[in-house]
Amino acid sequence: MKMKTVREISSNSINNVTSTEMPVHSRILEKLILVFALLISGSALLLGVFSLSLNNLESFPVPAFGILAIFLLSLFFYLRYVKGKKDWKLIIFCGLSFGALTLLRILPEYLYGLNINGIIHRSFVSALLLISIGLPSFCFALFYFLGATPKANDLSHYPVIILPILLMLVAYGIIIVRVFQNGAPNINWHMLITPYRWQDFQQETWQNNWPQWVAQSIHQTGIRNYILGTLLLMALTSIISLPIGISVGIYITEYSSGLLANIIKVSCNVLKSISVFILGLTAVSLVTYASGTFLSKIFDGSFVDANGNSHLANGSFFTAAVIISLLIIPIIARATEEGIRSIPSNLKEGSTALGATHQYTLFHILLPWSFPNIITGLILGCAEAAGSLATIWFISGTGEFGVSPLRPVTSLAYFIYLCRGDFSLSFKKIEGIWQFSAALILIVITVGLSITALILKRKLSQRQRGAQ
Amino acid sequence: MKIGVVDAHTNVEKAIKMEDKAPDRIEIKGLEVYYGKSQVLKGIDLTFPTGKVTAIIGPSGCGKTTLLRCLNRMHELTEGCKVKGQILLDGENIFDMDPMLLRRRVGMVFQKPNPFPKSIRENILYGVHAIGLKCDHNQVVRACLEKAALWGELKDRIHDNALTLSLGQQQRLCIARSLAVMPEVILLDEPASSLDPVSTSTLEASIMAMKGEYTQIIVTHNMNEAIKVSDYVAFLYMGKLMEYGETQKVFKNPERQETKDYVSGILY
Repeated sequence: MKMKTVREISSNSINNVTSTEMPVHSRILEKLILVFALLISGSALLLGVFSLSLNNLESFPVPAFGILAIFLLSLFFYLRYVKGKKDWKLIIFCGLSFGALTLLRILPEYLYGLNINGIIHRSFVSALLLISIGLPSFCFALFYFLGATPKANDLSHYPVIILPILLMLVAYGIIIVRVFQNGAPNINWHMLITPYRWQDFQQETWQNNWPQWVAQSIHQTGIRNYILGTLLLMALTSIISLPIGISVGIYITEYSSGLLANIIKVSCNVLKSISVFILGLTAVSLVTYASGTFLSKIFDGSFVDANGNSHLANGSFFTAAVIISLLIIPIIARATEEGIRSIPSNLKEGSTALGATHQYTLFHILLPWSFPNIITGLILGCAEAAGSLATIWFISGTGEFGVSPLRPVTSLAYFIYLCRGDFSLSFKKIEGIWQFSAALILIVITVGLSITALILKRKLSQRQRGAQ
Repeated sequence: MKIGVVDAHTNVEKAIKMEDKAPDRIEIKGLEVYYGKSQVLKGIDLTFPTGKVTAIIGPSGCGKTTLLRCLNRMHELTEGCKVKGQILLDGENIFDMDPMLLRRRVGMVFQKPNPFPKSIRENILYGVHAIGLKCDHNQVVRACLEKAALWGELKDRIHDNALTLSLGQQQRLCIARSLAVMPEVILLDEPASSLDPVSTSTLEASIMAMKGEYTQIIVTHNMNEAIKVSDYVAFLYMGKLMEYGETQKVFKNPERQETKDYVSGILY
């Protein structure tokens, strides 16, 4: 038996051991085999992915497993006898392929029982098995194809990371393409400008000192008020939650060991995990309690109809902003806290050594330093406010009477719900065509906000923090 | 020795004559410092003469930085630090003063330059705004930068971000910044340890130029720097003051054996 030198043992590579002694046609054969291994395992993987969605691939998994098993076996023997490298993982996966093959032959077409409350089709099982066996085999094949060096070891793990990311991107892509396809053709300038008003009412006029009522109607279709409503909601929420959030964040960092600070930290976590529907019910109760009192104009929301009479609605923008800011204050507080804690301690010492009071250091060094974090938290909060539906579900209206802090609250998210017709079928008939357009506009607003936040944060970070 | 620029902080020329002030600006009496249970400084009695540069030397871990930080009460920023004894600044016990007022009279320059992420001008005026000092901002900036030997290099760039300067310039900017609040004493904690030789020599030149007007206390590992710059030297070892005297005397004829070993370069 040939004794291996240290050099040969320490390098596991299959290239530098024998490749210089092998004749050319063997090297080409070796490359071909490895490419073939790659192709087979790759196609097993793809078959698994497509079996999840397409229906005609019933007969392919079983032979695919067979071919994969045979090929893994032959790869093992090739590596063992030609290269002198025993890789037992290939044998294990070969055995797993055979096991999967027999399992698929045994299974009936529909699976039920076994405490599964539903019926699973066999193709789902075969897809899962194909992915879970094909992915590692693909990684092995990639490893040997790249020459079995340690670097190839690292690179061959990429498919495991890339596959879920690809699947996620495909899912996002399907959603966005669908929204775009259904929504983009319906967007026009007129619909963006016009508010929705559908009112049939009796207009009061005076003739010969006697009142007369004339039937009038205003019929307008459009989504202007919903867009403005979303923007106003974001603005009001920011105005309310920014000062409170920053103050809470500063308090938590300054007095991090006190009792009140611990209570605040716990309640921040609780607020984040509370269901948003409960916050929506809080909004309703806020409106109810404010109903008989002098606060009803602020919290209930009022609107003025065509005859000049003012009525009370069941929720204003102000109420919605207050309730949504309960969700956003923890985000901003956490962001401020992170920003203040991330400052290097020598800057604080430098400021103290100059004789500045703690408060001066706070406002002139710590807060400017945590500005990027605060901005990010704020933009996250705005995106949350724009997309929030459950919090404003019970207090929203159709926005027929204008958008201002004391008017009934409405937003694009609520509009999309109204277009489903659960609320009123006539609404669905009138405005339903803009369901996907509203979704598209909402996506554009949120994505635009996120990108602005990223750019702002990077610019501010570079300018402020420089080399640190 | 006065610098040839009218001190622009006040309209009155700052004519400090050495004979008018007490000969010792800071006196330390029986200082003991504890970090938790371990005692770092054991009974230090030391004085720092007005207008001179005093160097504190000693091996690592002997308490030099602790001593320096006690002089402007920066030790209170570390937890678990207890202090016994007295430190008198012009006769007043610094532990009875308001710490902010103390730190305006005793400035500090740190080992690693720490300019604020603002413009150079705002860095210098930070202390001025923080304590509400009324002065002409432009003249203050110019005077401080000239004292730190930076005016020539930076006079066109005072609105640039301070983090774009080289390390040597940043350290001198930190010195200029601490001069803006008109301190009486300046503490320097190994100021040249992160600098290259050229910046070090410029720094030493600034320190020499500030003699007479400011009392400076410098902690250093570098024997050459101590010899070049300081008038008096204190040698600390294991938390105790081993020797104190004029520089030439301590380095040429040290009284104690430990001092002799240390200054001749035997590593502790």
